[in-house]
Amino acid sequence: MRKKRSLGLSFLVPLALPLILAPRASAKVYVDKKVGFKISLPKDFQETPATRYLITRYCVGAFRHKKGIPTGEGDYYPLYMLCFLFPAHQEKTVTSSTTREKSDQGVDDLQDLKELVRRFFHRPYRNFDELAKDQIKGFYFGKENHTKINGWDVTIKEMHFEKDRRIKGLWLVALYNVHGDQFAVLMTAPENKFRKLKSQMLRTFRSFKVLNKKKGLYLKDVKPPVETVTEGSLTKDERKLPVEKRNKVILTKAERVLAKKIEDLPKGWTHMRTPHYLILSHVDQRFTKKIANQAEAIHHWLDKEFGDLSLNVVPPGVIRIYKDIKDLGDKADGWIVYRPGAILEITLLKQTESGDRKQAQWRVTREIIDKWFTYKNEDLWKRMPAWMTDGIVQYLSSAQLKGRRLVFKPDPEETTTLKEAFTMDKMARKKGMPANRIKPLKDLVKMTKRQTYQGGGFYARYFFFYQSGSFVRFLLDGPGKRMRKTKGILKKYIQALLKEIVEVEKKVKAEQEAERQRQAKMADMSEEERLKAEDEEYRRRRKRAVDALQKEMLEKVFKMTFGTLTDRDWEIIQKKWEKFAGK
Amino acid sequence: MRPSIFPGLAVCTLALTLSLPAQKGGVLVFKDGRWIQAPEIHVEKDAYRLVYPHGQVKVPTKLLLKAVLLDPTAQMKGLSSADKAKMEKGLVPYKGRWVSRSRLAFILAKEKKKLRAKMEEIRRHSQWRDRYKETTRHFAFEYTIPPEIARNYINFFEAYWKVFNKRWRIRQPPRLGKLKICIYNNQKDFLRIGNGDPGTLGYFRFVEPLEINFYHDRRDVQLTLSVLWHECNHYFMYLFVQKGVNNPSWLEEGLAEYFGGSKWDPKTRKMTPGLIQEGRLVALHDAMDGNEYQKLEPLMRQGSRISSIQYAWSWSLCHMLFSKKKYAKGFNRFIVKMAKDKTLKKEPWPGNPDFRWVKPDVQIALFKKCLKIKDLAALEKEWYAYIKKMKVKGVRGYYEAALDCVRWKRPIRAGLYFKKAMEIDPNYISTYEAYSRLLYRQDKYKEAREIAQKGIERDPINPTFYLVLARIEWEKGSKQKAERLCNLAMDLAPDDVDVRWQAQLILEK
Repeated sequence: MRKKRSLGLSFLVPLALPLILAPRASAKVYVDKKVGFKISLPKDFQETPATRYLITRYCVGAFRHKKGIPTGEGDYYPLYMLCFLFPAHQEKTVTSSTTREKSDQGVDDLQDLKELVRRFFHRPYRNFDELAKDQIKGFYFGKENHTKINGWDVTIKEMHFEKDRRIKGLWLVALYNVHGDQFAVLMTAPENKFRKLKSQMLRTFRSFKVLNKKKGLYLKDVKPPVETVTEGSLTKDERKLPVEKRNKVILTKAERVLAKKIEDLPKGWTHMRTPHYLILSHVDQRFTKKIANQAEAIHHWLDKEFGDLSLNVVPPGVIRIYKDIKDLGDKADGWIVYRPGAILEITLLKQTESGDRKQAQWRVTREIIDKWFTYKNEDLWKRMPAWMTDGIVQYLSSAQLKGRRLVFKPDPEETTTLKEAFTMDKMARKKGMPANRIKPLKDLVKMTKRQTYQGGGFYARYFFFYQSGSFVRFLLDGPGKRMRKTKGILKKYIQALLKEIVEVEKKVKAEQEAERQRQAKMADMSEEERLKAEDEEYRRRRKRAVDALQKEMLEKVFKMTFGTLTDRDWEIIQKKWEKFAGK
Repeated sequence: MRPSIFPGLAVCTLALTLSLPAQKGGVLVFKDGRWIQAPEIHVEKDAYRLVYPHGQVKVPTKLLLKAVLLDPTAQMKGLSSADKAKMEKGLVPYKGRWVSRSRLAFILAKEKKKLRAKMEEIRRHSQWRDRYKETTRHFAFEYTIPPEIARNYINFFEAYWKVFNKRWRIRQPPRLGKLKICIYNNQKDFLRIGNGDPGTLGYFRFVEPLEINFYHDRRDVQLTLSVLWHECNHYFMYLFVQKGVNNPSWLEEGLAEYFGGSKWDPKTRKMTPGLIQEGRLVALHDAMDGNEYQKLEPLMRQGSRISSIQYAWSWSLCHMLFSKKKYAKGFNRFIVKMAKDKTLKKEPWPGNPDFRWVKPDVQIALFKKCLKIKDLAALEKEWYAYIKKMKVKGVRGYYEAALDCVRWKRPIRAGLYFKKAMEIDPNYISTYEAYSRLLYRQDKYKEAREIAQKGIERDPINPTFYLVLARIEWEKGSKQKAERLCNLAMDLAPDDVDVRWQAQLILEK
């Protein structure tokens, strides 16, 4: 008996020890030599772009748990760890704002993404409390505990999230006083798992160390994560050149840009040149070739279907493929704004955070479509109705690459979304309620962008998107291709659109001129006359809907393209399409 | 500054920092409940001059409830020779009498102790984790506003219960318990802690646990009351209507808005519903100007949530139906039947299929029957005429009308409305803020400066006006003046990130 017992103990101990030690042994240590600190990361945490959560220059480290914690409701609560540094003496930061700042109605007023990011990025906070109260919603500070960690005074505070939340949160933030500067480490958790995660959080807090205690910490001078790309863009004078000369300049500049990109390639990267793209790759050749083939196939299709839109050349583009988000590093943070004509660089990840394998192909397709149309005819792309832009994007995004060829067929998202829409409409009709998830095709082709968000509830936009994709498919590959009344209708529609856009541009310019003249006249009027003129102008504007211009244009184009179709024709088309779409 | 509608308002709200100011400084307590500290305060005729590192601010005594100066004798001006003689004898003036310096030191020590304790209490309770909690018969209040202000809100919630209960009997089921009401000190706290949506002033959470969240707007208490009446009405309707059944949106929101336009007399504790919601009226007149009429039947049939302009239409419809004798009883009967009659045919509510509502056809038939009308079209005409007859009279109406004009790029008309608002209530600060900004944006610097100065006379510690002046100085090339004004704004509101941010943007230009 005694022998057995001692065996049992001796069996357990060697197993227990590694189990106890293992989590701590595997803790990664993050070191930032520039800022001057190091801290252990909790298990399974990895670096992540900071700007996804808070736009601020005070963030010096952002990490995220690989998966998050299961909520018990089929999804995951994300676990973050964010580090901030608030220097005691802050130099004036320059936002380099380009707007005249005559509007003080807040960032909602700003059209420019660059400005939006800059304004938030440079918002001055003296400490974490100010940042949190300004940028994080739904919490209040709870209990505080004052202690010392590695010689520094620290306050550890709870942050409670209670109101109107499906899953209540209970976060912890540690605020270190380092020679008057405040270093903050914020860790998130759902309230119901807080007890389980608390010890891990406190361990992380305790691991914080300043590399040079005497020197302290230093807030790097970080630019806002907005980059303006100008390489390859045309000057004002170059834009006025006749199209042939302009095309030559575009291609010459593009080749120079591409050559430089190859020259600047870091070690370990390869490059591949195709007729229309330069692929810069940090992944295996097989994947690189797949992307190259996808890009060329999409480009080729667009050239074939819409090449005659204009004489403008589409310069070669750049596709840069990273392994994953870690490989992307700093570049994951932020936004890129392209000057008109600049050479677009499409960034892809072979392994995305969501693990979706097709993400790269889907993304490259969408970016190429946007770039191609922007170069070919930007006015057309801007004014193209939503059903067509969405339709083309979905039609091409869902295509599969077989070798170098695209095979067109609906993807699971399209079939299931449409099936859901048909079913929900059927149920609604039975109850005498509005059945408007699937739009009559006759209405679909006249809808302005604004209208696509209306009706059908929260998912209106998704239903519209997939119905548009399916309708384009119907016209290009389905019965619509063969029907006499709809054969070649897409091309006819675009030709009509091109004609009408010229008229629309004239109208827009005329309206702007009329406004300028009205303002000039008002300067010479009496106060009473000016008030009258202002009221009249207001009433005129009120009568016109916000998207009136687009509505008028679409009506005209509709008449030019579908004008010969009767109501009966539309009924037949609708029925055939519904059958094709799987109703 | 608008006069307080709360009688006997004592010291209130926002403690700024823990420590008391330096020896020459003190604390001023405003009638609207704000406290402000200054490092140096000088006593002048009918005013106190606050000295900050970057400028001085004059605060008329008529705006104050009290002033606590740590050294009231410091740099007093305007002393007569007799006063000076007394001071030479070792006496100092204090609250209308002359006392010895040692006596003053004793009194000040006591006041300082009391002040410190009061400031600590306010500071502590301004944190949500240490909020005040209080229950009454039907409600459980949690708040960070001063108890003196909260008292009045607490009183009229119970008064409102009485009013509603008298009209339509309601019961608070034991299972639900008392309704939690959370009151925040300011809009920022409401948006952050209360998780309010931008643009809202309050909300009723109609999914358990039920609660109401709103904030005390010290500059427009009437608006705060309007919001809490509106939200509380939803709660009462929740108790009144059958479980799992929703009123159609026009009725639900229309009634909430109707009660939202009530009058409260804190002395008699009497609530009178049915006043004109001027902001809503302005929106309606504007819509009618643009020929955007809401048809009656589609409004009644609308099952999903209604838009903000439809709130206004719904309010005006309820207002008319309650105001006109020929409809009032019938409308009342309709409301009760919709809430209680289990025989009325129902179907899933389009806004949320977890709830049901009376089928639109059934609703309309019942409406016509109760109100004894044959034709909705005729009622619709009458309704439009009723709205057109209503006139905007109060400051809030003109203020809202002006803002509407600003949105529609009608600066001249906006200016007229702002001027009218200032005429009706010269102490409505929001008017000066918005109007000075509008004039600045139009490059009318002289007028903008005048309006900002008028704003400062009425609200001298409001940083907004100093920022407007700073912008003007910047545009005129006086960068040093602009910098000084920006810094003064930050002295007045050292904890306000928005002020700091605006100042930074101005100085960066």
